Amino acid sequence: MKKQPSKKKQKGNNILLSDKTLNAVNIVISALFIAMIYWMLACDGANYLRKIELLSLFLPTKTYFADCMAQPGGLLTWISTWLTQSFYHPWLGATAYAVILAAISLVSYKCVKLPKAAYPVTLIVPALILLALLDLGYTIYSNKTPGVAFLLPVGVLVIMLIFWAFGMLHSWGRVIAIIAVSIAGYCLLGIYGLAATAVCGIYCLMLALKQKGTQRWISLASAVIGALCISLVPKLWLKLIGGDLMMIYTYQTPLPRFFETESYMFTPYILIAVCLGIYAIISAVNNRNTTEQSSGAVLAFGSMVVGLAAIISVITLRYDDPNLKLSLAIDHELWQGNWQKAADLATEAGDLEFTRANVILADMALLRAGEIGDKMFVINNSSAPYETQRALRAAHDITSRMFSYHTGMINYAYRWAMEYKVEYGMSAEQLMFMTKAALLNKDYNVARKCLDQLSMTAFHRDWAAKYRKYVDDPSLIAEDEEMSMIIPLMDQYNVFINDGGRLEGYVWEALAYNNLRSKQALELSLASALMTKKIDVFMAKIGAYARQVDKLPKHFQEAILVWSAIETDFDYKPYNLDQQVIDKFNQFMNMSGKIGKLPKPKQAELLKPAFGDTFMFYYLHNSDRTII
Amino acid sequence: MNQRFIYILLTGIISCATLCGCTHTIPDNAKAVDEKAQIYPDYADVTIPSNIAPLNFDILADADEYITHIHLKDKDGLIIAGKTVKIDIDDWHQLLTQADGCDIEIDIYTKDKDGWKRYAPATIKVAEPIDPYVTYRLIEPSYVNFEVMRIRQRCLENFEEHDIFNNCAFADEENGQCLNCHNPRNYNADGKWQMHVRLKQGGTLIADGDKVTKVNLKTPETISGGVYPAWHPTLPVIAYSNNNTLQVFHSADRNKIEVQDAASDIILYDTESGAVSFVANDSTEWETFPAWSPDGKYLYYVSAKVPGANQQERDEWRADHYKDVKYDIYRKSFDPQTRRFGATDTIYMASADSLSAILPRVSPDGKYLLFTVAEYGTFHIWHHDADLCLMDLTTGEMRPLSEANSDDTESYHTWSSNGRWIIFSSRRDDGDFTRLYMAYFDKDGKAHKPFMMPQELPQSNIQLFKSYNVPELMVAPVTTDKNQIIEAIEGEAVSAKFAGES
Repeated sequence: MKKQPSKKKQKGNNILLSDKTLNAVNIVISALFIAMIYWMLACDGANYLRKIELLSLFLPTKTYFADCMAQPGGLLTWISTWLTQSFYHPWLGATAYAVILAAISLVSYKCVKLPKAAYPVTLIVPALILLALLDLGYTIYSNKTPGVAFLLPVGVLVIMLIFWAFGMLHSWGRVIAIIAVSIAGYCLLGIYGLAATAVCGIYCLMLALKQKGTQRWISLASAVIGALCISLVPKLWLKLIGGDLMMIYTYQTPLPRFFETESYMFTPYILIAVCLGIYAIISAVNNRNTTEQSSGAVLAFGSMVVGLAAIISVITLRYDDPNLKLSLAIDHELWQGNWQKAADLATEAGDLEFTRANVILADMALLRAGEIGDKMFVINNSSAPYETQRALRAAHDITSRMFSYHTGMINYAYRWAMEYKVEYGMSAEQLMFMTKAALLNKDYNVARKCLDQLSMTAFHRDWAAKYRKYVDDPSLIAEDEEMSMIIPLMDQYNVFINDGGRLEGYVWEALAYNNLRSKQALELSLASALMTKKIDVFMAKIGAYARQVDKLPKHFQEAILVWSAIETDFDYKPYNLDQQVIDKFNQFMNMSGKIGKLPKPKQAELLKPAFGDTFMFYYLHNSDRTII
Repeated sequence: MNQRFIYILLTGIISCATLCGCTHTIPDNAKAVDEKAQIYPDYADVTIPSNIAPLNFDILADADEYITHIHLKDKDGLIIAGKTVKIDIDDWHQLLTQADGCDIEIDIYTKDKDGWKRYAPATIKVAEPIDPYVTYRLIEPSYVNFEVMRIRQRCLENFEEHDIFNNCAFADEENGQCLNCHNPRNYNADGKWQMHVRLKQGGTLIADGDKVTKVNLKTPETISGGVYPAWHPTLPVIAYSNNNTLQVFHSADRNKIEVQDAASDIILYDTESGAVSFVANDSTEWETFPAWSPDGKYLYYVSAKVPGANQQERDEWRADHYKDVKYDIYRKSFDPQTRRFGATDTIYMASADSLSAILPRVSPDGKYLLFTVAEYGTFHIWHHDADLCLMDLTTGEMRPLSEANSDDTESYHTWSSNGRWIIFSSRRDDGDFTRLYMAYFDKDGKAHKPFMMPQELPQSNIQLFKSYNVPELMVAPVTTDKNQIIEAIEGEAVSAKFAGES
C-alpha cells in the first residue's frame, strides 16, 4: 500500500496539503453550499418557489413541445419548464437546483482541469446562478420567459458539457464541431448555444496562441468560424425558419426580458459569461500541473476563501424583501384555504409598512377568516413602495385575480386571469382562477377546458380532479367550503362602468354602492364603504346588517360613533355598542380636541400609537393610502 | 419549412419506424350498436368540400382498442387504429377524388371486455370545393391586454399555417402594435389586401403584391382612421367605417364585455388618388360594417339611431341604454361610373324586432344576405345570444340560419367565392374561445350541418387558448414579403385627403 503523504509537507516555501485534507476541505465547502441552497430555496424561499411554479405551466403534449421548439432555445425552454414543476415541492425544487449546480461545479472542475486545491473556485458560477434566481424578486409576477428559473442553470450546465466534449476533439474535428455547436446549439439552446460556441471559440483562439504550424491555423480557423457562426446562425434562422421568432429577440432568446431600468439584473449573467470565458482561457493554457504544485496551501486557502465568499455573497447580496415574502406567504395560505393562518400573518406583521398588494391580500385573508370588520384597520394600512423597478403594475399582477375572486366579482377574476395569461403566458394559477370563475359563472365547458390542461400537469392533477367533480355535478359547487363563501357575494347588481384601469378603488367602490343582501355580502359592502370612507353609504346599510348579527364588529361600531360625531342628532344607542369601543372613541375625541390646533400630520403622529388601529384614525388621519 | 414541420417530419419518421409492418383489419365479429360513436370534432353526417384537409378526429368513447374504417360504400377504404384517427393526407385526397358524388362512410369499432363493438356509421357528403385558403387573426379572447398577435393564413387543403404578419416581428411592449381587420380584395385573387396597424407607427397598410403602402386615413373631418373595410369588387376603392370605439366591462353579467361605438360613420377611400369622402355621416346615426354587393352597385351597412342633440348627450344616453342600441341594415346604391352614391334602402329593420343586426355579407350570386343578430349592440362576438340570419334578397324573407346556429355565439362570417360555403366564427364549443366552422350552402338556400375547421391534431383546438378572429376566405395565399410590411410600418404614412361627400 502506497503510503499517503503526511498532513503537511513543505517543499521550499510552499506548504503542500494532502489529498485527504483537500478532499475534506472541498467536501465541507460543497456541503455548506448545498446547505445554503436548501436554506435559501426549500426553507426561506419555499413560497417563492411555489409561486414560480404556480406562475408556470408545463404540458406533456406534442403541441406544447412544438410551441417551444418554434423558438430558438426551444429544447432548453421545454426542459426548464419541465424542471420548474419541481418547485411545487420546494424540497424537490431545491434538490433539483442543488444537483444541477453541483454538476456545474464538477464539470467545470473537470473540463477546466483545475487543481484539486482550486475546486472551491468552481462555486462562483453556481453562486451567481443562485443569486440570479433569488434576484428575480417581484419580476416573477411579470415574467415573460417560460422556465426562467432553470434556463440559466441548465443552460450553463449544457455549455460546460459541450465545452468538455469539445476539449476532447482535435484538429479539424473542432472546426466541424464548432459549426455543429452553433447551429444545433442555437436551435435547441438559443443564446446558450451561441455562448457555448463562444466558449469553444475562445478556447481555440487561446490554443492558437500556444500552437505552431498547421494546428495553429486550424485552431484560428475554428475561432473565426465560431465568431462568424455566432453572427450568422440567428440571422439564418430568422430567414429560413423564423416564423415564430420575434426579430428583436434574435440574439437574446431565451434570456429573461428585463426592463431597461432593470438591466442591473443581468449582472450575474454577465459575470457568469466572464467566468466561462476565463474557464476557456485557463483550460487552453493549463497543462494540468503536477500534484505537488496544485496542492499548495496558499492556493487551497485562497480557493477556500473564494468558495466561502461565494456562499456569503449569496446570503448577503440576495434580494430579500419582507413585503414580497409576506405577499407570497399570505397568497400561499389563501390558496391552501388556511384563512386564519393568512389573517394571522397579516395582523402579526409588526411594524412592516405594507405595500398595497399586501393590504389587499390581508383584507382578503381577514374577509375569509370573518375578521374584516374587526381587524381591517389593525393591519398596517399603508402604501409602502415596492422594492422593484417595475412597480407600476405590481398590485395588479400580484392581487387582481385573488382580489376579484374573493370579493365575488367573478367576471373580473376571469378577466384578470385572461389578461394575465395574455401578458405573461399561460400558467397553472391562471387556469385555476379561470376554472373557479367559470364554475361559479356556470361556464362548465370553459372550466372543463382549463381542467383538461391542469390534469396533464405533474402536481396539479389532484386539484383538477377535485374540480372536475364539480363540472360533472354542479350541485357540489355550493358545498365547496371556499365557493360557498363566494356565492353569496355574487348576489350583486351588474356594475357597468369603465374601471379606468383601477383595481382596488374600483372594486371597493363597486361593492360599497352595490345592493348586496346576504349577511356575508353586506359585511363586505360595509367594509368596502369604510375602506373608501363613504360613511354615509355605510350608515345606509348598517341597519340591515345589524339585524342579522348579535354583535357588530369593532370597526363598524367605531364608524357608527364617527357618524354620531358628524350628525349630532344621531343616536347610536340602539346599536348596542361595546363600552370599551365607546370609551376609546371618547378618548380619541378628547385627545383630538386637545391637539386640534396642531398641523394635521403632527396630530396623526401623536394619535397613531394609541388609535392607529381604529376606523376613526383611518377616517381622519390616514392619508398615505393610495387606492390603486 | 419551419420548426413545426421539422417536428412533424421527425414524429412521422419515428411513428413509421415504430409501426412499420403493422396492419389492421376490420373486426369481423363486432356487435353492432344503434348509436353513433361520439367523436371530436363532430364530423358525423356533415357535408365537406372536395378539397378539404383530412378530417382527423378523436374517438371519445373509452375502450381498450379502436379501429376506424373510412370508405366509400362497398369499397375497402382506409383502416386506422387508435383513439386518435389521423388520416394520411394523400389517401384522404384520393378518397375525396374517388367519392365524386358518393358518400364517405366512417365505421368506428371499439373493443372492451365484452369484445368488439361496431357503432352506427357516420356519413360524410362530398360537395363542391371551398376556396383553398383562409386568413384570420389568432388572438386571446382578452379584453384590454394583448401581446403576441398574428395574422395567419391556413391552407384548407392541408394543415399548413403561416404568419402573414406577427405584431412582435420587430417591436414589443410600449413599441408594439395591434394588428386587425386583415382583409383581401376579391378573395385575394389579385394579391391586394389591407390591414390596420394601431398604436405606435400606426396606419392602414394597403398591399399590392410586395408593394405595401401605409396610409393615414384620419383626416380632420373624419372621426377616426379606417376601421371595418370593404373592398369594391372592381374599382380601386375601399369603403371603411370610422368608429370611435370603447370597451366597458360587466362586473356581473353573462356577457362579460361590451365593445361600443360612441360615434361612427362610413367613408370611401380611393386607393389611387388617396382621397377620402363621406358615404354616411349622420351624427345621430351610428353607421358601420360596410359590405359591397358582388356587382359593386350597392353598399350594404348597418346603422343605429341615437337620441341626443350633441355628443355629450349621446354619450350619456349610451352609458345608460346600452341595451337599446340596435342596428338596422341599409344599403345605398352606387354608380361605378360616377362613383356617386344614390338612395338609401332599408333592408331589415332589426330594431322593430327588438334585435340588432350587424355584419351584412351578400352571397356571390347576389341572392342572399347573411348577417348576425343579437339582442343589442355592435360587437356580437361577445354576445352569447348572437346567431346567423339569412335574408333572401329576391323575396325579402328573413330567417335565422338554424341549420348552422348553436346555443352560443355565432358572429363573423364570409361566403366562399363560389357561394357554396360559408365560414363563420362560433363560440359553441365553450362559450369563450372562437373557432372556425364551415357549412355547405346548397342551391336551395339551405345550410348544412357545420363542422370545425380540421386540424392535424384533433385536440389542438381544445388545447388552444386563443380565438380565430375575422376569417376571410382566399383563392390564393398572401405572398407579400414580411420585410416589405415592416418597411411600410416603419416608414411615414401617406395622409389621405378629404374630398367631401361621395
